[in-house]
Amino acid sequence: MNNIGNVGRSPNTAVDASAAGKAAEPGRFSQFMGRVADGALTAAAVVAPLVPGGQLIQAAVGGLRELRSASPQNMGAPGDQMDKMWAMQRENQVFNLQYMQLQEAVQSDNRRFSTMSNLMKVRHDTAKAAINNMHV
Amino acid sequence: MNASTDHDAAHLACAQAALKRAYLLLGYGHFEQAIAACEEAIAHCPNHPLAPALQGAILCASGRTSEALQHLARVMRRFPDEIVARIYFCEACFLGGRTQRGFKELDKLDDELSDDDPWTPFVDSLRESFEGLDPKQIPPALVVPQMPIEQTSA
Repeated sequence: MNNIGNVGRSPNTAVDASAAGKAAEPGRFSQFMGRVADGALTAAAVVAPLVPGGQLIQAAVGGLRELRSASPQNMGAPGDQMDKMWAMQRENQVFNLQYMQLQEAVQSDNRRFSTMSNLMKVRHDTAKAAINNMHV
Repeated sequence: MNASTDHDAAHLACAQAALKRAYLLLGYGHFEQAIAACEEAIAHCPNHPLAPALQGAILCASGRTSEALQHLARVMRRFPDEIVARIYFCEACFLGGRTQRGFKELDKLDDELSDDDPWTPFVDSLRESFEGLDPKQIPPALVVPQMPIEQTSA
């Protein structure tokens, strides 16, 4: 009678899967920022022996490199957060669309119920009036 | 008032009571008893079109649509001017999946009935309910399922 039944299922598996895939792989922004950071660290490592206190800078650069390599791929970088946010927003749009479809289905069912209910009432009233006005 | 008139009036009153009982029984889903009550009304007033027309409506409401269609067609042949039978025939057509025939009969009724006719709301309501309704979405019967009658001890 309606398409409410579809709502009980998983929202949209295709969209979920694509969103999850996009969230798992690093975004372009994060890749770009990663390359910039790598370049900066390399430059600092090259320049470090030439400046006073260079050993300290070299140690710091080394530490930062280790920290970067040890950190999980999909955490920390602001670009990844943005990608996640976009994925969530897309998911939200899908849910909104489904919610709207559900609302339309419910409204349509309500209209149908009210029409049928009215028919039953009129049907009963007509029969009642016909019986009461019965004459030979 | 002579004896014959009194006799007719008594039969009419009995038929009315039987039909009211039929509708009460229909409301509680006791279809067979409702149909039997209509038979009783027909026995009291065999030449009145209302009792057989309402019997057709009860057959239709109980889900016996094809039987209702045949019954109402017979009533319409015997009493061609009986509007109630024709309206219930339309309803039976819709419930029996004969949508086109139902609308054809409704159109005829629309042409014949005026706006202030007592049957007009029923005809309009039928049109409103079945217009744009997919035949697959038509409910099997327009009544509540049978409810048990509680036995009260005296």
